[in-house]
Amino acid sequence: MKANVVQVLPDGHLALPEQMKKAFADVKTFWAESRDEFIVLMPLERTGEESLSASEALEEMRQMVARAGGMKKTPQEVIEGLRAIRKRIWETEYRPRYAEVLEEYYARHPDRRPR
Amino acid sequence: MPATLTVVLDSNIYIFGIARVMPSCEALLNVLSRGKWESRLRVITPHLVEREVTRSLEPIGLSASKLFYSILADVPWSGVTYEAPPDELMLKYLELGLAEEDAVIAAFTEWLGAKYLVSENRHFLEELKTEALQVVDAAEFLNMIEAGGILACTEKRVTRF
Repeated sequence: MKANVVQVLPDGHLALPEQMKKAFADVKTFWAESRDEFIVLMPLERTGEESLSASEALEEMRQMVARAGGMKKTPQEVIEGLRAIRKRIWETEYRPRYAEVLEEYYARHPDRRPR
Repeated sequence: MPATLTVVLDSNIYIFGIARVMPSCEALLNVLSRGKWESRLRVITPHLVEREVTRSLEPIGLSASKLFYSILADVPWSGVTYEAPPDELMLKYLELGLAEEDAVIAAFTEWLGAKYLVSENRHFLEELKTEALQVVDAAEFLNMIEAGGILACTEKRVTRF
């Protein structure tokens, strides 16, 4: 297997190259997250590592935000940012699933169709 | 054995609470993450909310997403739900005046039997009127928890059915 190339096996499993084996040797679980152009596999749990409680994780995240200089947005800007993300994810990942039923609905209620 | 109260937290609650932008959201996350809930409270998370939060946290570092999953994996949270709600519930919330992308969150909340949708989004707070679920902000939900009203509501709901 070539270095730094992940192979998809016939059964759908992903195989990491030998060189990467050491780095992930103690990883028990990966979390797969879909990003815009690729999928990120995050080591979620490691052998011998106590998993964090919600309150510990929350505290760590708050420290990360503080180290990054805090949230440089007003609450309204945060809400607007989240709405934009929601709309984008809805359009690309969810709306296609409902496209047919939405079209039927808007055909019956043309005034409700988003502009 | 008391019934389990199921709630959905909107993405803004997480971001405001993690970034300490809004004291009520910060306090709510503190109470939820530090409380001993056992089976009395369950926080469910639609995939859409999970995506919004992790994407918003990207600027502070990749490990922030990993930490967020640690929260979702601990009680009273119960992981992420990937299934999408049925068509008829989507249409119900469109009919109630919500935008498509908000309708799917409200539909998800009702579909999984959540009694409350906790949000600071005024579109939800002002526009959504339905008997199936109640939209409350973080301060209101926190008051319910602290006053013990949640358990009272749960018991009342069980009695009614």
